[in-house]
This record gives sequence, C-alpha cells and structure tokens, in this order.
Amino acid sequence: MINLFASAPGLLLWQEAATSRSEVVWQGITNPDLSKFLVIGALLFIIGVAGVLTRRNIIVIFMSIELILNAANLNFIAFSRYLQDTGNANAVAGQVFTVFIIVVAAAEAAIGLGIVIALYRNKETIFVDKIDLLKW
Amino acid sequence: MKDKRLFIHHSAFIIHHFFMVLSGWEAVFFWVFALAAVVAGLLTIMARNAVHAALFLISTLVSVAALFILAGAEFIAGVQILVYVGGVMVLFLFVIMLVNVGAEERGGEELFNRPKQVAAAMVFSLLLVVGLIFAINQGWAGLRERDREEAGERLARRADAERRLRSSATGTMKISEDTQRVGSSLYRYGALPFEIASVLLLVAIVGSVLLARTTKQELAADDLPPEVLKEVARDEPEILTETGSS
Amino acid sequence: MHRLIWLIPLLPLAGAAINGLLGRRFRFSERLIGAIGVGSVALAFLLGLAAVYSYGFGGDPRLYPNPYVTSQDGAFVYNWIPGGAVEITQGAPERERAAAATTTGGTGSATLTGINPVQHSELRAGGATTLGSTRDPAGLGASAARDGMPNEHTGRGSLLNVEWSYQLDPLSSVFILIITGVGLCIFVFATGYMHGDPGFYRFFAYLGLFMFMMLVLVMGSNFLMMFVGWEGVGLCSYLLIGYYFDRQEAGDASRKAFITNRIGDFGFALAIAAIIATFGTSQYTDVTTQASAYPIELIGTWGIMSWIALGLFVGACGKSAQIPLYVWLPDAMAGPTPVSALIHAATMVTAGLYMLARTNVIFQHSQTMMLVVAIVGALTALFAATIGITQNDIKKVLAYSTVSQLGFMFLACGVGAFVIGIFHVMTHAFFKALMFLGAGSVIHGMHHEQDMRRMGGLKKYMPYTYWTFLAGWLAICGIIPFSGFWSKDEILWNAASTTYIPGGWMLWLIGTIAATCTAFYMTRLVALTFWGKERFLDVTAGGEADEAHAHAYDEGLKPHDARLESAGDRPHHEPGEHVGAAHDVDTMHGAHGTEHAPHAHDEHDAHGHHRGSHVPHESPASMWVPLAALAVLAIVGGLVGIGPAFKAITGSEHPGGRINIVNWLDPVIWNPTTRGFGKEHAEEGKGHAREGKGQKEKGKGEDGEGGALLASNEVIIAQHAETTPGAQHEGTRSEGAARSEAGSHTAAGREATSGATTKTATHSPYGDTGYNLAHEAEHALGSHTASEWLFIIISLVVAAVGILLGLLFYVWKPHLPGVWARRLSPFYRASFHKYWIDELYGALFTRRSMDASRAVYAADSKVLDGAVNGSAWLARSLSRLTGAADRYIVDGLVNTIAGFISRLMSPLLRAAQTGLAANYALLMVFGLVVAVAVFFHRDILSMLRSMFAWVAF
Repeated sequence: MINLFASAPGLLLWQEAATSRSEVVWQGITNPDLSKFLVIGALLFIIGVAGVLTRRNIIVIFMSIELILNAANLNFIAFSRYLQDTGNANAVAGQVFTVFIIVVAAAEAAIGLGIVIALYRNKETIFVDKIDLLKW
Repeated sequence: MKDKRLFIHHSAFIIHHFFMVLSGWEAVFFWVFALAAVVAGLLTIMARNAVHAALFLISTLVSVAALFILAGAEFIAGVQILVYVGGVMVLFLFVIMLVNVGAEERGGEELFNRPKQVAAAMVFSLLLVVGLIFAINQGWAGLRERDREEAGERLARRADAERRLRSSATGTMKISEDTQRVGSSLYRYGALPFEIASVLLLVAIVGSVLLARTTKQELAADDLPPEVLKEVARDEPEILTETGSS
Repeated sequence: MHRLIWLIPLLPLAGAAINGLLGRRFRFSERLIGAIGVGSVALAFLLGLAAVYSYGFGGDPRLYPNPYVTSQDGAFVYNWIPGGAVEITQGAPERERAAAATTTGGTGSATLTGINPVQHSELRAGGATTLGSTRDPAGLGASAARDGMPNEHTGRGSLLNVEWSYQLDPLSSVFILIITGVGLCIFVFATGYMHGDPGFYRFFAYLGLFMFMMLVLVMGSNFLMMFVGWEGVGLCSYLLIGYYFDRQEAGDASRKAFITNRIGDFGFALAIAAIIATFGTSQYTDVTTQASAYPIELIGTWGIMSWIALGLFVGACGKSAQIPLYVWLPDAMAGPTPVSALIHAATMVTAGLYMLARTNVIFQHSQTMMLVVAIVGALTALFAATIGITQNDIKKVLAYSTVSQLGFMFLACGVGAFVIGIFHVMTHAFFKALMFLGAGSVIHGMHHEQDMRRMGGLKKYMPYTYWTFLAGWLAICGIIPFSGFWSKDEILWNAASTTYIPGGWMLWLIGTIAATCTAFYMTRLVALTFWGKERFLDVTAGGEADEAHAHAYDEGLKPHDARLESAGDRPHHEPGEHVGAAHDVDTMHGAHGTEHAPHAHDEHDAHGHHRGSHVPHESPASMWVPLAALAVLAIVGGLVGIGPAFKAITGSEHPGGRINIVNWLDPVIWNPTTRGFGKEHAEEGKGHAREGKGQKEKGKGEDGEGGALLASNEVIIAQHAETTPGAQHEGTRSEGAARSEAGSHTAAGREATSGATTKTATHSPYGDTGYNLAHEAEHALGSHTASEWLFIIISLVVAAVGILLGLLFYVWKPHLPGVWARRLSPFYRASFHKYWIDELYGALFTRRSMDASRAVYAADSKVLDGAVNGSAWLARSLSRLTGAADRYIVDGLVNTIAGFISRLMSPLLRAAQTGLAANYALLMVFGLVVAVAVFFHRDILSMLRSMFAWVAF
C-alpha cells in the first residue's frame, strides 16, 4: 500500500515487476527508511490541513496547526538524520531549525490562545464561521 | 524500462546497506508509533470534545517524539515533550476550560463546517495525499540513486565513528554526541536567530498578557485612582462587570 | 603629614555626609550630630596644623618655598578631566614680545626660571621636548624656538589635563588654618546656638559641606578646582541663608545672594576660559610660571592679562561683596548667626581675596586692574562704613562692617600689598567671627532680639560675651596692640606708599576716613548693646524682623508648623526646653502664636520668657568658650605680622622668620621688579646671599632665613639645570646669571628701601606713579622709620577719634545722635536707607529684566504664536480649497468609473467573499494542490496517457 507508487512511471511497470513486488513491499515494511518518515510527515501534515479546513472550533484549528508544524519537524529531523548518515557536516542544522520551530510554535500558541480568549470575551463564541467580520 | 527493472532488483538487494535504515525492533516501533501518530492525529481533528482532541494531540506529539528518537534526535524529542506536551498543550487545556465549549460537547453545535466546505476540503486533502506520496517516492528514488555509489564507504566510516563513541553503563548502547553537536551548532551558528527567538518569546508573553486582560484588569493596571474607578462604575457599570471568565 | 592633606577636605565632607544622610533617618541626637560635626572639623584642623608644620618647618628644603602639589609625589591624584591636546589661541603676540624682550634685554631671564618655584611643571607637562620648547617662558626656550623652528603664532598646542589634586603652599596653608581653626570655634558655638532646632542635622550637614567646599576652593591645585569650590560655597551659602526656608525674607535673601554671585561667577568662568586659552593649562604652578613671562601692561594698554584680571576681579567682587555686587551680603544676615560668622564674615567672603592673592601675578601684570581693585576696595570700605553708622540691626551693622573690611583687603591688594591683604583676612577672620558670634550670643540671650535700640546695659547680664566682644571691638577699631591694628595700619601705610598705582594718597585718605567711621559705628554698636540704660525693660519684645515674621504668620502665609519652628533668626525653642506635643499645645494657646508663648523651662525658669518682660541671660559654655578662644586670637593674632616700623623693638623688619606671615607668604607673591617670586626675601636676603650660599641649607641663622631661602633657590636652579635634559649646558650659565641677577636686584632693592633717594619709582616697573604721600613724608622727616611711625600715629589717632565720637554720641551725650540726625537729615536718611542702592538696582535691573521678560512673553504670544496660527489658518483655507477640488473633480471622476465597474463585477466577486476563514484556507490548499500538480505535470501527463492506453487495451 505504501509502495503503491514506488516505481514511479506507473502501473505498467508495477505489473511487470509483479513477482518481486511483494518482496519489495515487505522489505519496505521491515526496513523503514527516510521515505517512510517523510510519508508519515506528509500524512500528519494533511491531517492537520484537513482539520484546519473542516473544523469550526477555533481551538481545534489551533491544534491542527500544531500538527502541521510537527509534521514539518518530523521532516526536518528525518532529513537531518539522513544527511548525518551521508556524512554532511551541517546535518545537525535540521535539528537546530526544529528547535526554532518549536519556539515559534510556542509563541504562536500563546498569542493565538490570547486572541481566542479576547475573541471569546467579545464575541461569546469560538466558532470560526460565526466570526465573519471579513465580509462586512 | 529495463533500467527500471534493474533498479528495483538492485534496490531490493542493497536495501539493508543504505543510509538511515531501521531494522528489527526499531522497525516495529517505527510502525507502531507512526500508526499511533496518524490515528491520533485523525482522532484529534474528529473528536467532539475539545479536551479529548487535546489529549489525542498529545498522543500524536508523544508518538512523533518517539519517531524523533528513532531518527536519532533524542534532544529534540525531549524538547518536544517538554515544550509541547508540558507547556503548549497545558495552555490549550487551560484555554479550553476558560472558553465555553459545552454546546459542542452536548452535540448542540455542528462539529464541522458546512458540507460543501468539508467536501471540498476532503477532495483537496486526498489530492494532496496522492500528490505528496507520489512526490516523496519520486524524490526518494532520485536521492537513493544519487547516494548509492558512496553508501558502502560512508556507512563503514560512520559505523567506525559510532564504534569509537563511549558506551553507556549497561554496555548495550553507545552514548551519542548528537546533542552536543546540536548545542554547539545552536549557539555558534544560530546565535542571532536564538536571540531573535528570545525576543519573540518575550513579545509573545507581553502580547498574550495584554490580550487576555479584562477591562477591569486594564483599568486597574493603568494605576487609575480609585475615585476614577468609582466614577467609571457610576457612569458605565457594564465596563467593570464584564469579565472573560464567567 | 603634608602627604595627607587630601584628608583635610574629606573629613568635613564625611561628617556632613553622615549627618545629612543618616541624621534624620536614625534620629541622631543633637549631641551626636554636634560631636560628628565638631569632631570632623577638629580633626581637619589638627591635620592642617600638622601638615603646615611639616610643610613649612619640617626642614625639607624641597618643600617650603615651593608649592607642594599632591600629584607631584603621588600622594593624591585623580585625573579629573583628561582633556588632551588643546590649541592655545590667546596671548601669542604678547608672549613673543616678552620672549624678545627677555632675550635681547637679557635682564632677569635666568632669575625667572630660577626663583620660579614650579620648575617641575615643565617636566610634568608630558611631551616635554616639543611642548616644552614652545611653552618655556624663559629666554632659553624662546631662543631655541626661534632657532629651531619657524616662529609660529598659531597652532601652539598644549596638553590640557585637569587633575584633582591638592596644593599646599604658603597661601593655601594660611587659609586652611583660618578655615578649619575659626570654623572649629564656630562649629562649637553652633552646637549651643542651634540647640532645639528641628533641622539641627541639616544645619550641620550644610556647614560640613560648606567646609568641604571652602577647603576645595583654597586647596585645589588648579583654577577649575577653585571654581568647583567657588560654586560649592555659593551653593552652601544659598542653602544656609535660606536655612529658615519658611521665612519669606530668608528665601529672598538666599536667592538674592545666589543670583548676585552668579553675575560674578560669570566673570570668573570667562577668566578661567581665558586662562586656559592663553596658557593651555589651569594648574596654578604652570599658570604663574608662564604668566611671569608676559610684559606688564601699564595704564593705557589693555592686553590679555588685563582681560583675565578683569574677569577674575568681577568674580572676586561677587564673592567678596564689593561695589557693585555687595548688595547680597547684608541681606544674607537672614541666615542663622553662626552662618553669618563662618560664611559671611570669616571664610567664604574672603575667597575673592584668596583668588586675588593666588593670581597676583596676573593682576600685577595689569596696572589698570590694580588701580581698579584699589579704587573699588577703598570706595567699598568707605561706602559700607557710612551705611553701617545708621543701621539698627546688630547683624546688619556687622554685615556692613564686613563689607567695609573686605574693601580694606581689596585696597591692600590693589596697592600691591597682597601679603597684607591676606594678613587682614586672617585678623578679620578672628575679630569678625568673634563679633558675629558675640552678636549671636547677644541675640540668643535677648531671645531673638536683633534691634540694638532695644538692648543696652547687657554688660551686667552677659559678662563673658561683653568682655570678649570688647576685644573684637578694639581689634576692629585698630587699637594697638590688638590684631586689627597691625593689618589695617599696614594697609593704610601701603596705600600711602604704593608704587604700583598712581593716586595712592587719595586711597589712603579714603581708607583713613573709612577707618574713622569703623571706629565710630563699632563704638556705637558696643555702646548701644552693652552700655547705658537697659532699654529692653521698657519696650516690648520683637525686633523689626520678628514683627515682620509674626505678621506673615498671621496672614497665613506660612504652614502652621513653621510657626512653631522659627522666629527671629532662629527657632524660639530655648536651651533645655521640651520640644514636643505639649509645646505645640502651649504655642497654639499662646496669644500670638509665634512669640514667646509661655512654656515649660528646665534651666531657664529664672527668666520670664513672656512677651515684653524678657531678661537676657548669659549663653552656655558651648557658646562663650569659642568666644574666648577667638578673643585671644583677636588680641594676639596680629603679632604674627608686626610691621617694619617696630624694628627697633623687635630687631627685624619682619621678625619671627617663617612664623611672620609676611615672610611666610612671600614666596607666593610675584615681584614685578625682579620678575620673580618673593620680594621680601630678595630684599632682606641682601648681604646674606653669599653667606647663605656658603652654608647651603644649613644657613638657618636668626636673620638668615631669606639668605638661606635664596641659597636654596639657587640650589634648586642647579638641580633643575641638571635634571632637565635639554638644559644641561645652560646649567652653569643660568646659575651664574641668577647669582649676578640676585646681586643686582638686591642692590636695586637696597636703593629702593634705603630712603636716601626720593624717587625710587624710577626703578618700578610701573613707571612714575606721581605724587607719593609716604615718600614725601619720608623726605620731609628724613627717615623711613619716622614716616612709618607718622602713619601709625595717624591711624591710631583716627581710631581714637572715632571711638571718642562714638562715646560722645552714645554714652556721654545720648541726645546728640537725634540732634545730628536731624541736622544732617539728607545724609542720615541716605545712609539709613543704604543710599537706596537696593531700590536703584530694583528699578534698574530687576524691574527692567521683568519688563524684558514680559516683552518677550508678549512677543512670543503675539508674534510667534500669531505666525504659527496664521500659517495654520492659511493651510486650513488651502486645504479647504483643494478639498473642494478633490471632492468634486477627482472624486467625481473616480466615482463614475468605479460605479460603472462595481455594478458590473460586484455580483461575481461578492459571491467569492464568504467571510469564512475556512474558505480562504481552502483556497490556499487548492493553491498547494495546484503547485504540486504543476511541479509533477510531466508525470501526471504520462500517467494519464498510460491509463488511457490501458483503458484502450
């Protein structure tokens, strides 16, 4: 399933390589590598996006944003590890970047939740579709 | 087409000898935590109760932290748990308690946006899933192609370097120097962003405090003399009675 | 001990800091505050004594005639203002002329460097070779500059580096001893006088701060430090005059003093700037050295030296209360009496004299300014004395007496007798402090009565005060052998015999009249206060000042507690009385509320303190003991300056060696004849020079002081020549020149003082100064000593005349004052109203400046504000115009087009705008999807193709 698109050019190749396909998939499962991390990161990211797009509760939307940021963190860490393995001297920069993302996320959460409180105090609601001041 | 077949065969052959490959229990844990993260993430955005959503998000974050550990970033994993789970999520829980989410819990309010919006979002999300996974596989193939040649040598050197690390007390693990490198890199090359981040945090603190104050608190904090407060209470009593926590 | 002089100012400062900062918070008792104040000053005094002894009598030949600066051996130095290189912009032509004169004339150039006591200054100047050659005032340096480099008038530089270091030299040591010694007496007195004052700690903090500032003023080693002290004492004076800040007149007086002093300080500041611009340094030692090289500016020429001297003199006028800036001093009597004694009689007001003596080189370079100083001094002496005759407030009389005596001092400086001026400063400090304190004791004993018309017969009630006051009276009148005689007689003699300025005889005449007046009004004061009828038994209590206060209090101008704290010139709490709530109640019950409300007494029960029935009492020991000490000084203090007229008795012109103040101060004073420092030594050392040189430093014979001094000077010349790298080859030559020069100018001195020649003025650098009274008398009598005795007898006679007149008017025939006041009504009224000077100043300056401020205000409000408002109106009308154009033309156009477009497009765009954040976010995601699609469009296309192919199969 994960390796659905493993052979890039498409379904033709997939059929041709049918004999070894299950092997390949099994190996991919037993030996997860960088691509698996990236896929997990992408899934988390899209879950976050979906949350932002679908939920009405502004607090949950914030949680989704945290999810998005965490997906980015996961990508950074995975690439950092990969580049470390390839011997890149600056590979640890990915981890440093992650630290800054966490800091920014914390600041964003603090401000955002402050806004939520102010908003709730003034509008008595935490539902984003009730707050449609953009269309006056 | 022939090279592609070769490629598959070859990749299947060398997959144990490539960079950043987990195996054994590591692979098992990877899948456990990856699934936990994804499932908890889904539950986060689907939970009716906001507190439950927060708890699911915590689960996701902890799972991601576990993935960090699997990727060899122990320090970041610690930071993730301390800052996110210990700080940010607690803040979320506080805010959930401050604002009124009862209607949603009781089912009186719709969880999601109007159906058209949700449908469009679903479509786009699926498209993104497909696109991103496709892109990842494309990129990963190219990357593997690029780094395949020197993999053996580099891996040998890295294994050598890891062998020279000090052992932990139990002797089963090596003590990683990863965190050291993060620290020195953070303060050597990232000193300026570090300072800027500190200023950002300060601004965030001040800003959130200002945002979260009630009118009454604002009046009091401005060192208004009691007489003025009395006047305000006489002329505009609603200013003082209005609070955010009721 | 001289290395420790930096402690001397620090001790009173420490005392002031402790009292001022901690006294209130920790509720120090009066005993503790007094002990801290008196103790710190006493320590400073002892330290000063020890330092002066080790400086002058310690036997170290490097010390006495030369100034000792604490930075020279590292005893105390602080780089106060590290300035750096400055360009010397002033005085170049004069300097070049002087250099030319000294090299071509060849007179006195070597002596100049030799006797100059500050030879180390060149070495300390840094950048010794380059700067030294341009700054060297000697012919040596000038010639080197001429040979070596082009003769530059501009671009001369100097390293201006102002250090905070203290200087001990004969002049400052005299002042240190006066300030700490007399100050000690006054501190002790104040502990008794200020007893019961709620601001006791504050008073002693101010006094201690004043001591510090005054000591910085006289001990600083440069002009900027003097300025710091100068302003500091001004501040303390302001604070202490306004000590009873709840009284209108005290506040007014303090402001008046402060502002008047600012006028003088402005001149002083300008002079300091000129000094730095001329000499490139502010260090006394360097300035005096360099100033010696300038040519003397006679009457008719006005150069840089005259400018500097003018500025300095304006400053001195302000601080020392000379015409026209004297007006603040009488008003300053609103402060507590110890303050009047310490600041406004003994020390601070003599700061101007100190400055004159310190810069005597500069003043002696300007004959015009010497004349101005002398004239102003003499006029002030006479003017203030005539006012003093008619005043009724005991402190006002003493204040005008102080102004008058300061005038005498200025007169002395103006006629070239700087030493005598400082001598008079010293004796005046003794007797005037004594009299002020005596007056304070009287006021204290009379329960804040200051009007002499309500005193009388106090001899019986206050014996200690009376007898000590008598000593001060005789001293100021100039009765031999009291201290005032020696200095005042010397001043008059020097005025008569001066060769510095023309018209000395007129100054002598004015001074003599002023001395008569002094004797008269002082006798009047003593007679009205201590002798005659006990008038206080007849009249009700409360002097003019007190009534004024009471009136002000009644009008409610003062806070309520102010009533309780002060009346007259001090709080009316009596010694030992209980100060507290009970007293407040009593006072509030008192009929008048301010004056002598009946209250409990511990030790003064015997005296009724009720209004109209007060009986004076003798002051406590803490007050009369300082009086006694000052009385002793007032009697014998003048003996350190016995003049040359008593040579037959004392065996020497200035007996006592260095103990004699004339000899002691001599190295400070520049001698225009020899262009070196120390006239008296040069003269007295004649004939002893060889001997002194033979004995080197051992020459300490009875009369060999001068000789030894000269010898030591020569030794220093030699040392200097040896130690100066660039001048080694000049060493022998300069020594020889110095020796021959010493011989030649001592010959001139002998000629000048022998009395054989009538016109010694021909040798004077100031040219012929015309008619000289002393020389005429000398000529007529045929003997120098006889002429001196003539003048002594004259001054004694005028003193006696003044005293006898006083006795006649106020003791023997008490009706005479009224008669003569009527007979000389215009004069009497003029004097009584102080010649209406205050009114004149008020009309001329105060009102005019207020008018000017009003005019400026009017101009500001009408013209400036009008312009601003007008331009604002213009801008408003213009904007209205453009607004109309905008509204009708531009907006019309825009609205037409916009209306057209909006009608067309708005339904479309409006539909897109839902206002929901999620919608907008959805669009973002849509964009993301599109981006991914665009990125992989090839793969998508190929995939689609293969799918279609598969479908086709």
